[in-house]
Amino acid sequence: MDEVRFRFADRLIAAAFLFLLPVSEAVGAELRDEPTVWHENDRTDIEKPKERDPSLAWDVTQENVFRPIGRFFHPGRIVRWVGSGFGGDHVPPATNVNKLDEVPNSSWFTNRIGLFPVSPEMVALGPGRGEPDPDGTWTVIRAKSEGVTPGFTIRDARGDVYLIKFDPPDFPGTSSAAIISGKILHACGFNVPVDGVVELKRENLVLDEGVKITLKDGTKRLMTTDDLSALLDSMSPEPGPIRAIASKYLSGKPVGPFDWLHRRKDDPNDHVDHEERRELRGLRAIAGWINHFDVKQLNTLDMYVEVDGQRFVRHHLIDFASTLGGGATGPKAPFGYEYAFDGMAILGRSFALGFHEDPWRRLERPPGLDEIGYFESTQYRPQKTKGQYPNSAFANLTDRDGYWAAKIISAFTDEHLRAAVATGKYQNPKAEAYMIRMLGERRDKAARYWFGRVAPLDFFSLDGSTLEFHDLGEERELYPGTTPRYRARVTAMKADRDDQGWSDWVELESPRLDLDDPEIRAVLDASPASEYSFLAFRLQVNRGTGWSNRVTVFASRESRRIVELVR
Amino acid sequence: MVSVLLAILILAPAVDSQTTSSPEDTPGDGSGNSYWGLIASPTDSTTATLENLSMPVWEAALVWPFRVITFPIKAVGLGLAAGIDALAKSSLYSRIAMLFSGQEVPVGVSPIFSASSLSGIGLGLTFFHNHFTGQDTRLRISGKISTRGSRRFSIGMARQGWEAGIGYRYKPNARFFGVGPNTREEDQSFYTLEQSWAGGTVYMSVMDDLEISADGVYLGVGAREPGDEFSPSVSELFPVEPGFDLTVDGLSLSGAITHDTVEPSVRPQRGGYQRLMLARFLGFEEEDGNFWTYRAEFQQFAPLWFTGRSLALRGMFSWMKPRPGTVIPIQMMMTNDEPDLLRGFQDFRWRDQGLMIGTVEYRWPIWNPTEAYGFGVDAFLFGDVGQVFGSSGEIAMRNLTFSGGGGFRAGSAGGLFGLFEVGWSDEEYQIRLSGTQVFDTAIGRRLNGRSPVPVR
Repeated sequence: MDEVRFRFADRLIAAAFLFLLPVSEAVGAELRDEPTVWHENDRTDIEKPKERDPSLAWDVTQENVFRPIGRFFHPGRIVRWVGSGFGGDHVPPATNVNKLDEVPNSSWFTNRIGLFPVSPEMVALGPGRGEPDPDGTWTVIRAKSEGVTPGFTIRDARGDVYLIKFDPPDFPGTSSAAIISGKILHACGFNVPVDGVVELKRENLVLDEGVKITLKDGTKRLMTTDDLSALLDSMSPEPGPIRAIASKYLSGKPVGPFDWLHRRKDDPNDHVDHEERRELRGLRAIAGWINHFDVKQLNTLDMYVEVDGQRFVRHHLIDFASTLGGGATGPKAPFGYEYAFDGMAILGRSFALGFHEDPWRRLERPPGLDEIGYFESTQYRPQKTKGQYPNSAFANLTDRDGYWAAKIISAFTDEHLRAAVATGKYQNPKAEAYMIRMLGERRDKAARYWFGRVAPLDFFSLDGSTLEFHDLGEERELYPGTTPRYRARVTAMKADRDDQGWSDWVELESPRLDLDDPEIRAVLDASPASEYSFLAFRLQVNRGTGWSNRVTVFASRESRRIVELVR
Repeated sequence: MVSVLLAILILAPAVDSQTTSSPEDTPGDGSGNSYWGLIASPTDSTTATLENLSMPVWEAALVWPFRVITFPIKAVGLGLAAGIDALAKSSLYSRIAMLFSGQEVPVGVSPIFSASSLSGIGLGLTFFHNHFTGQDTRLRISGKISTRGSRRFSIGMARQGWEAGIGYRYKPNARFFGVGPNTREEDQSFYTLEQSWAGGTVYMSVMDDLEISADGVYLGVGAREPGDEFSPSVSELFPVEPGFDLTVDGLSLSGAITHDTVEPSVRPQRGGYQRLMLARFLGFEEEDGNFWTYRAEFQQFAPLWFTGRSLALRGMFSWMKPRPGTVIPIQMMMTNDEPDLLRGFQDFRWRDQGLMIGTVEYRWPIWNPTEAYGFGVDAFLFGDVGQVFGSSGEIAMRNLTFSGGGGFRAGSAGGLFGLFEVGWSDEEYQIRLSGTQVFDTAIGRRLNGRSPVPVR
C-alpha cells in the first residue's frame, strides 16, 4: 500500500512539475532595471509580400472543422487543459506583451484609450474624417462582389476612392453600426478604415467604362446604367438622396487578409504567430462587447504602406456591418450567442428534446427602433460570446488577455460612447439613446467579468517611499455600493528573485502603500539595497466577496522604475 | 517635439472635431503621457523585435510526434483546400448556396439519395427546370437506381392548373406477407413489381385554400417471379393470389377536394390539411380488377411551448371496394408505402383492401444558423399506429400495430432536403434515409413522379 501511494505521489509531483513549467518560464527570468519595451520592431523596410486570396468557403471550412479538430487533439493543449484545473492557462501566454503585461505599439495595434486619456471628440474622429466630396462627380469604378450586400466603388472629384455600401433591404439605418464600431475599434487601438454616413445623390453618379457586375449566380458581365439605376431603386424607390456608408480605401497596396493562425511567411516583419498576439486574442472580448460576430479572415486587410521611407505591412480590421446587433443582410438573432454550426449546442438541443429554450430565441428587437438590430445586455454573457464561427486567435484567449481587453473596454465612459454613437447618425434619437445605454451596460458586464478573474490593480508607480496604483474597478464605478479594501506585502529581491522573506500583509484603505510602514520597513532594512536591488509587492483587493487573485509588481530600488508585473 | 504636440492633442478636450487629421494614426502613435507615465517615441531601448516563445521541452516531446502522425491528414486537408478553393471561385458554389437559401433556382440538377433495408442504397438525379419553354412551366426528369436492383424513372411537367407525367418503376424484391392484419413476419415472400403509368391532373382553386382536382392515369402494374437472389417467391408460400403472374392494365379516374391552410414552411407550426378522394379503377380485362377507392386524410400542425416546437398530427383512412364478382389484384391493394408509412415496419409489410394510419410527431429545431424558421435541421420523435383490414369487422384494437422512433429532418424555405429516422416496432426496427416525408401534401401530383399505385 505504501509503495503504491508513493508511486502515485511521484507521478503527481511529476505532473505538477510539468504544469508549473510554463508558469515558471514566464516569471523565472532575471529582473532587470531597464526601460519598458513600448514599440515592436515590425516596421522595417521589406519587399512587397504576395497578395493572399483565400476563399470564404475554405476559411469557413478551416475555422469550423479542421482547426477546432486540430486544437482538440493537440497534445500540448490537452496537457495544458488538464493543468488549467490547477490554475494554469490552457495555452501558452501571449507573446507580444512587455514586462508590464501591456501590448507594445506595432503595425497591428496602437495603444490609445486603454493607456491614454482620450477625449470623446477624438473617439468620434476615429482614424480621421474623409467622406467623399459631396458636391462633385462620383464615378463608379467597380461593382462590389464580395460580401452579400450590393454596393459599388467610386472615385470622387478629388480622386479618392471609396467603397459605398447600403443598409440591408428592409432594415434601414442598421448599417450605422458599422460606423460606430469602426470608431470604437479605432479608439481601442486597431487599424480601421475611415467610414462615414453619406447622402448619395443619384445625379452625381457616373458609370465608368468597363465596370463589371457579379450576378448572384456568380457570373459576370458589363454593368449598365440600368443596372445602376436598378440597384439604387432597390435601396430606395423614392427620388432624392440615398443614405449610404462610405468606406475610404486604405492607403497603400493591398496584399490580402491576414490569417488568424501562424504568420505570413513572406513578411519578414511578422515574427509572432497571430494566435499568440494579445491584441488578436483580446479582440474576442472586445468583439463580444460590440457583438462583432463576423471576425473572419476576409474582414481583415493587410496593406503594404510606406512611412518615412520604410515599406512594411500594416494590418487592418475592416467591414463592421455585422456588429451591434446588425448584419450584412439584416439583423440575425443567434450570432453573438452561438456559432453558425455549433456542435455542442446542437448536441445539447438534441438531448434536451426541445425542453430547453436557447436564450437568443427569446430576443426581440427593441420595439419602435427599426434602426437597431438584436442588441441587448440581459442575455449577454462576456465569457460566452461566440462569433459566426470559431477563430483560431480567439480560441487562445486567456484570463490575462481578457483582462487587458476589459481595461480598454472599461476605459470608454458614457461620454465616449455618446460621441461614438453620434457618428452613426441615427434618425431616431431614441435609437441613439438605446445604443448608448446598451453599450454602457455591456461594457460594465464585460469589465466586471474579467476584473473578477484578474484583479484590476494597475498602473503602478513608485514615488519615493510610496507605491501608488489604480483600482480600475473602483475608478470606473463598476462596483457601486461596495468599499474596497486592499492588502499588500513586500519583500526585497535580488535580480535572480532570491529574497529574505515577505512582510506580513498590510491592509490599506486606499490604493497607496507607504513603504515606511514599520512592518514593511523592518523587512526592507534587513535586505541591503546593494544586494537586494529590487522590491517586490503582492497586492490584492477585497470588495466584500473575498480576496482577489494577486498582482505581483517588481520595481527597481534605485531608479524606482516598475520593471515587471505578473498577474 | 512630436511627442509634446501629440500629448497636447490627446489631453486637450476642446479639439476641433472638424479638423481633417492624418488617417490611421489619430489620435497619437502610441507615445505620450500614458497612465504608466511618459511613453517616448520609438528608441532603441524601448523597441524590440518580439519572437514566439520557444516551446517547452515537454510540449515539444509531445507535439513533434503528433505532427508526424498527423502529416498525412494535413496533406489530405491541403488537397481538400485546393478543391474547396477552386469550387468557391467557380459559379458552382453560389448555385449550391442558392439551393440551401430557399431561393428558387431556375434550372439545375439535384441528387437523390436513399437507403433502406428493402431497396438498399439508392442514388439518382433529378433534372429540374422551373421556366421550361420560357414560361412558368416546371419540368422534372428523375431517375434512380439502387444496389438491390430497383429502378425508377419519371418525367413530370406542371403549370398553373395542371400536371402531367409518365413514369416507370421496377423492383425485383417487392415483398408480400399475405393479406390481412394478422399476417406473419416469417411468411415473407418476394415478387417482382413492375409499374408504368402516364397521366395527368387538373386542379382548380374554388375558394381560398380550397381546391378540387381530377386525375386520370393509365396504370400498368405487373407482379411476377422475383429476382433470382430473392426467395421464397410468392407462388411458393401463397399458391393462389389474385394478380400474381399478371400485368394489370387499366385506367384510374379520381376526383379530390383539398382544403390546405398549412403555412408554407419546411417546419409548419400552424394550419391543417384535409383531403377527400374518390377514385375508380377500370381494368381493361376482367382479371385486372374493377374497384372504387375512398380516401380521407387530414394533417394538423400546432405550435407548442418555445420557439419552433410543434406537434404534427396525421390521420388517413383508405378503403378499396371491388365491383361485385371481382377481386382486387394484390399488386393494386393498399399497403404501407410512402407516404402511408408505419415506420417501425418494412414497406409493403401490410396489405389489404383498407388501410388506416394515425401519426403524431413532436418536432423541435436543433440547428438554425440564421433564424428560427430558416434553413436548418429539426429533430423529431414520432408514434405511428395503424392497420390494414379487409372488412369493418377487422378494425379492432387487437389488430392495430404500433411503432415509434425519432430522427432528423433538414430543409429550408424551399422544402425538405432529406431526413434520417429510426423506427421501432414489436417486430423490428427500420432505418430510413429519404427525401420525402410522411407529412406530404403532394399526393396525386404527377410532377415529382410519385407512383400512383396504390391509388392515393
